[in-house]
Amino acid sequence: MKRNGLLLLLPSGLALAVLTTAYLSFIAISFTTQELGGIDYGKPLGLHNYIRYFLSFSDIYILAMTVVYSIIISIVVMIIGYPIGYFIVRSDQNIFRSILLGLIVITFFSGSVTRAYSWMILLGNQGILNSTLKYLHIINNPVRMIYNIFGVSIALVHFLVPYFVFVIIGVIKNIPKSCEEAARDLGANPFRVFYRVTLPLSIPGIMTAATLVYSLALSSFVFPLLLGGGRVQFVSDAIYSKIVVSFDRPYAAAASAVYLVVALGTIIVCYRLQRLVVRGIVPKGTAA
Amino acid sequence: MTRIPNVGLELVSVSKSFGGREVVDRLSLRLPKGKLLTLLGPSGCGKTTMLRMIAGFVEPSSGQIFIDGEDVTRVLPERRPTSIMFQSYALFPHMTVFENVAFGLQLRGVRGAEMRRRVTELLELVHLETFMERYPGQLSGGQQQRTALARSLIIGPKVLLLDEPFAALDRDLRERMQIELRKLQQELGITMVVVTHDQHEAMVLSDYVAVMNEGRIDQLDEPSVIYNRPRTRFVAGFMGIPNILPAKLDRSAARTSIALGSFVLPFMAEDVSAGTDNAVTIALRREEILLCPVGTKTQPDQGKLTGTVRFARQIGSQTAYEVETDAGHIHVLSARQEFTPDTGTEVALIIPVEHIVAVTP
Repeated sequence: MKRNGLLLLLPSGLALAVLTTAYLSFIAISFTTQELGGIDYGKPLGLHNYIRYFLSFSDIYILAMTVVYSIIISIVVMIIGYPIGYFIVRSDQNIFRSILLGLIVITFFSGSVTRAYSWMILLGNQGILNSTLKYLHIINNPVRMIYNIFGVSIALVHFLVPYFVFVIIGVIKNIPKSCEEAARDLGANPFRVFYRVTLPLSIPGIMTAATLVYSLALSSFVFPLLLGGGRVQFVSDAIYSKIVVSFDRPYAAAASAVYLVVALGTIIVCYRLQRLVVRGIVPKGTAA
Repeated sequence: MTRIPNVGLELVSVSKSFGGREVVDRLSLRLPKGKLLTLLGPSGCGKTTMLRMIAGFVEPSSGQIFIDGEDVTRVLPERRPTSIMFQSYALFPHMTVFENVAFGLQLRGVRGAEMRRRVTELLELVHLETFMERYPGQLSGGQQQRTALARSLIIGPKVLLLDEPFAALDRDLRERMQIELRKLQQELGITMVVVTHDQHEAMVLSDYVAVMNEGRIDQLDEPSVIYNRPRTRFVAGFMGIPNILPAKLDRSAARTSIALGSFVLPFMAEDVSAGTDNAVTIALRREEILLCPVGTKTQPDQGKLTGTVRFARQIGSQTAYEVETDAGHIHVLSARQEFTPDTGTEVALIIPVEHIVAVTP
């Protein structure tokens, strides 16, 4: 019996080993030293890459900004995504529902790179939006909307809304309609029903969806790379350029390790917060 | 438009169709104030839709709904003087028992000490005063049900609506709660409409029972009348009468009688309208048929058939028989311990005239 158990662990153990070996070997590199002017790395071993990282204002700034922007973007996604999800679940207008859901699915499945270029076409200096505004004489000179945090944020929000919506659809579907009807029956108008019943019951789900969106925003790479135009860098992009531009793999590895810890740390905070909120709203022993 | 003052609820030709199908079909009724009406019927008969129309969640395709003489047909659910208790109870899982019950009062601007006093009073009435701080998930089924009831009652509804209120409870508790609800209803004198598919529940609870079939009311009467004198074949079947037999009416003699196979039985209903060839459909409740040895003498107000026992089975203290007569197979449920014939025995079936009921086919 016990041996069978161990045998059953083998496939997942193997998969885990392969996946973690990549991380572990990369982290191991973070303790080595880059050979000057070369592509090799080796001794001396030490924590010098980490010390350099923590002393580098620009790298810490990028890390902090990535976290801050990810939080802001997650909040924006939440504000946009929740009503969409709510509408898809609770609207009785079947055609609009289907159209909205269809748009979300298409957005979800279209590739990141194509989407990034679409945003460039739309928001660029010679893009559709700027041309139209100029044609209408609302502006004289093009407004810069890409190669800055604005463009990156728009593209990221667009990328993340479907994730949020898909999670929140399930959450709202699980709120018994009879609870909302009971509230109405007791004298609550639709607005009150929403903020006294529907919203409180969705908060645990909102937290889950927001955590997912936050972790995706934190690890975003393509949108900052293409729409940031080098001016806006998220951590992933900074690490990438350390590898392919400055060929400093040990330093990139150290940055990755710090980033991983920070990312995990913030996600754990989210998770804890979520549990705290859930406990406040849905006490233990409740099936819902 | 004013209506008769003591009518608590009136439905005037209310219909609802979903996608061309009439779920509720020109339904009309009047329920006096303070009485309890049960909408009884199988699933899909339109009873829940009717209840939801009274609550305001479903808009009738046509017809009018009056509560205490006021037309509420187009009034939004939150403004109707009704309160509904859902089958699932629909308690707010994120609020305590106290908060659940206080919800309706808070919306009416009742706050502070006054609100606390009224909530506590009502929770005492339903024996939940010690559970005020619990969440619905920490309550038993019966406690959840009483919380839901208190939450509905606190707003002082003119009509209380209950959708299958006991379906989620197990049998013992269900019977206790049925009696408790009935007592509470009589004590408070509140007009109630209960939806159920359980005929026994309808008998225990109601002042009036409306048996619904395909969106219409087949019969609306007091429970004892529904039980003893079902008017249609559907009502008889739904009330658990297994013996529904074709018969012929004979009005030629001084005393009306019916012919059931080769047997002639006395018959007392004068209002029955026979079809062509005096054909009528007779319903015989199996508990009301006396199983006797052949040759037992009958009174003038009793009818008698004879036949052979084909099947016998003990069910608790009673025995269910299937007796083959030339009028067809007749089911009998007998509690008599002194006469328990085996299969193959010739027996007499004696039926009191008041239990020979004609129904519309």
